[in-house]
Amino acid sequence: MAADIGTGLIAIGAGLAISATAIAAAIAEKAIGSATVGAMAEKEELFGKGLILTVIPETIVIFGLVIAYLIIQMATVQ
Amino acid sequence: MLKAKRMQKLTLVCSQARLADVVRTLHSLGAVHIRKHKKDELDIGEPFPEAEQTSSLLNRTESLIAQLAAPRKDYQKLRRNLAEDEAEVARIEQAHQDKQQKISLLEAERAEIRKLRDVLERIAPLGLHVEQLSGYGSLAVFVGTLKKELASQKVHAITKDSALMQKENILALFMRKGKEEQIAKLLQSHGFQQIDLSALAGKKGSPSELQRSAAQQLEDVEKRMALARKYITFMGEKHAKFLLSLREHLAEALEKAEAPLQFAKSDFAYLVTGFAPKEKISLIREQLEKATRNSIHLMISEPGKHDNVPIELDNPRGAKPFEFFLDLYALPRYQEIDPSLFMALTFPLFFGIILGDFGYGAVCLLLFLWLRSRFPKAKALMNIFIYSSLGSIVFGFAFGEFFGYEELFGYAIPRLLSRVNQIDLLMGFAVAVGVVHVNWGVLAGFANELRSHGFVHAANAKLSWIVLEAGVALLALSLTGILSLHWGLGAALLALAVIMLYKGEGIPGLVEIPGIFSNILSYLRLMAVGMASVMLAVVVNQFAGEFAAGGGAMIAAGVLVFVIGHTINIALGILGGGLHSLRLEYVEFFTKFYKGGGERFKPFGAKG
Repeated sequence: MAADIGTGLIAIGAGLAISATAIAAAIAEKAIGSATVGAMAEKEELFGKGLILTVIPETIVIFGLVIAYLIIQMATVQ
Repeated sequence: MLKAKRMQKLTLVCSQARLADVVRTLHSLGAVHIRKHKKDELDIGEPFPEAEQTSSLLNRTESLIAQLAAPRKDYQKLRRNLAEDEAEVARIEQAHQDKQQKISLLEAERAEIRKLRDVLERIAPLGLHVEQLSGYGSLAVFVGTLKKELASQKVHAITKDSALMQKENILALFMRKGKEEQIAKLLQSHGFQQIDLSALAGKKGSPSELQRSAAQQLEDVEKRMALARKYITFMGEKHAKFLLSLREHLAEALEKAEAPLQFAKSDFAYLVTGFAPKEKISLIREQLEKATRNSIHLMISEPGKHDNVPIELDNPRGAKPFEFFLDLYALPRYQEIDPSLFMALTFPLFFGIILGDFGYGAVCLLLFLWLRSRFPKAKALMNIFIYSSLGSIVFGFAFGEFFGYEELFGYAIPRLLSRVNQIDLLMGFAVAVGVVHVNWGVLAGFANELRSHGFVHAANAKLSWIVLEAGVALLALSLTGILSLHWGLGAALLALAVIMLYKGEGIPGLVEIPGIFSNILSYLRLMAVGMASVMLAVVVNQFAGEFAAGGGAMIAAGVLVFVIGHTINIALGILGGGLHSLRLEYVEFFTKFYKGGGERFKPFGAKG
């Protein structure tokens, strides 16, 4: 892979795809997670439901990773 | 399997006179889940008369057990007589109380001696016998501590008839009565603090002698206290068997005595409603009729649609551990599919794909086998992870990975798919798993709806998703020219699916349309999380390799890096693999069919 400016930009794009989605998921999970722990303190049976709700935003990162991978593939095609 | 144990509904009517027999029989059977009666035109039953006495004795027994810190012992057979038990408990209580009282008397005595000792210690520097410090008719005495030294002239200025002693910071001042007030003022200005001599009343002799005897007494009192405490421990050991057995017996008796609170009661009769497993019904009928000499009326019926039937899960041995995940989530309703078996099939698979490395799998297997023997209480969870470790080993061979290495001693490990190099293929595989699993869930939902709402609704609400997926797939394939079909066919299927969904689930169904695709794509985590773990392993290996290449002591460092790195990666892998697999079950799979909310089957009289 020649280290020209285009490759660098592609790498930055891939990095952005991952980091932005990771931050977004983290912000979402932070709010849900703290609410869930609060609810569990009152009622422990809520663990299952709480876990589900907490991990829902996590899918965003997976999508971010896939997009990052596709961007990097773009580099190898060029 | 796939369904909770089949139950039947029992409705039992008996006279008040037969109630005790009925309760006793139901309790010893331990097979009927009693449905608590809610007050309507029929009142709630009254507990048996012995309930109050039993409950208070149970409280007393429990407090005795706590106070005596009774150790766990084998249980003994009891005389089943409440009055005798009560007398025995009262006797133990009395003995315990006596000892407690003795201890508190000794404590008071000890406090007194300590006080005396302290006073003696403080006045010792004066070198006076204690009887010299008090008991004068015409003399006033000040004994206490001073902050700064007092010049004797100042005292003499007030009264000549005085004697002053100062040693260290202790002062004793004897003076003729009459001018105490001025002296007190003078002393105060020097930071005087009186020592309370009341503890010395009636004592004679030198402080050091008295100190010796006080120490002696203190030792003696402490010995007696220790003895009393030891006796209480001894009582705890001696009566543990009785008290613990009594507690168990009373708890059981109380359960029986209070059972009528769950029944409905008319003026002359009691009505009991409950559920029991189908296979136990004939035994229950036989026992009840025998105990009451056929003088009850017992009606057995299939549970109705609106009965909240209690749930006893019924799975083959291999799927049993996975019931743990339902405990965490919610028990299925009576008519619903119990997904434990589905999870037993898919959870280890997902875990295996994520942590697919036969080195890691073997480590996990040994770890969880050890943990299972170490913590028998968490057996279900450990069994789940033992299955999952086997999944890791299987996929480890499929991916040809051993602690992140793709080759051993220069030979490539044979594999079906390389996770490091064939990422596209792995992505396709993950999505394919998603398509199968999500549609599996949709079909299970179809089966649930079919049972509860009939074919048309089930097809509209559930099969429509499959039509939708087929429509989108066809549309995509024909538009990209992979299939030489008119794009209208896919579009038509899509439109049909949308109409069905609208009929089946209304607007919320339409809103969820993009959801099913994000559900399927969510299975990409099988690839993503797994790949992260592989990359970490590869990095650890490279690191360790660099170190080891240094030779000598660096080889040891390399080994250390290898062990620590892989330990962390395995821990992350178990956590990530477990949670992500569980999430796929709960979020992507369960939401297609599972509602949950069943009540656990808790038969009356069953232990535990």
